[in-house]
Amino acid sequence: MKSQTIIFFLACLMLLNALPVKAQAQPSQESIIKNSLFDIIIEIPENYKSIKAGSELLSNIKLVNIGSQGRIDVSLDYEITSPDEKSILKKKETVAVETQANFVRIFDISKDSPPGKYALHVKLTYADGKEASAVHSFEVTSLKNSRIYYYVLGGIVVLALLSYLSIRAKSIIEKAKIRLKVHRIVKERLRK
Amino acid sequence: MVSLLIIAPVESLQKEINQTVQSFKGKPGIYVSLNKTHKSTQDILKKEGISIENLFFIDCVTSEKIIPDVLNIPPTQLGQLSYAILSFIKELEGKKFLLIDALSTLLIYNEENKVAQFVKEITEYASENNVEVIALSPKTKGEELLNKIFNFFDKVKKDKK
Repeated sequence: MKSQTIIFFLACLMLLNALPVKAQAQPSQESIIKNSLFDIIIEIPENYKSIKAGSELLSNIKLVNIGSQGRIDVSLDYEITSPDEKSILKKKETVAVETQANFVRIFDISKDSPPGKYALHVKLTYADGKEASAVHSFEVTSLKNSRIYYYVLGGIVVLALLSYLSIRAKSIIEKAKIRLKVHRIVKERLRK
Repeated sequence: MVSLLIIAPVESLQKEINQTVQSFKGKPGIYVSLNKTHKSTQDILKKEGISIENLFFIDCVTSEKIIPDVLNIPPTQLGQLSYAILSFIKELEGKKFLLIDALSTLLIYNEENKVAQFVKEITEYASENNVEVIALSPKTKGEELLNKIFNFFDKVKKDKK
């Protein structure tokens, strides 16, 4: 009787081991949104930190989700403000992010923009209304300054050309004088 | 036509010049004077009884333009000097000669390479136009400076005295 009880117990144990293991549950969209926690980083390359009015601003946007691991749609609001803190450009887009996203965005800076310190603001909003934001400043230089630079450069080139031509002309005049004098000397001597 | 470089001691340089001018027997010649003024050269030649009627002087010593039938060109202006020589060669008809007294003087005022270029230009042009070139240079310690220009002459005569 005792041995029958032991066999039954062992059989129960084997049966329990043979049962399939229950799969781990995937987090629901709701939990992804709930646990998500975003950080946003703006990077402006060195050669775009000072740009001329009328040119493009290149920026690298980095989004990092440190809260959850699922795919989530986030909304991005871009804004560029002038030195007097007036908004000169606004843009909006939606991107899907899992753990992190890295992308480049280019903004056209109007040629009428006055020189000074500008700022690129990026605000990230995700599903339940949470927000993350970042700001990065950059310099806009006057188009006039670059025009003056070209005028000065052009002036130098013209001056160099003129002085070269004047040297050439002087040499041609000198040669013509020599030629005339030689002609006159020979003519007068032969007359004698 | 030949181009000849005569290297002689300073004391016999004038004798070489006199002999050279006399040897052309009244043919027109272009005399580039780098050592003496036109007046001084003229006086020496006249004293030796050498006719200067057919000599056309380019005076590189006198800075003031005193005599109208003499061309004054500073020795630093090699471009002008070569142009003047070429102009005389073009203007003078028939056989003619070019005498440079003394070539080494140009090396005082100009870089060796520029002098070499000048000599090359002159000897080539003279050869194309049947002009005999006689360049003189005193035998001095700086004689090695002439090494670069030896090759442009058909003959080099060295007075060993």
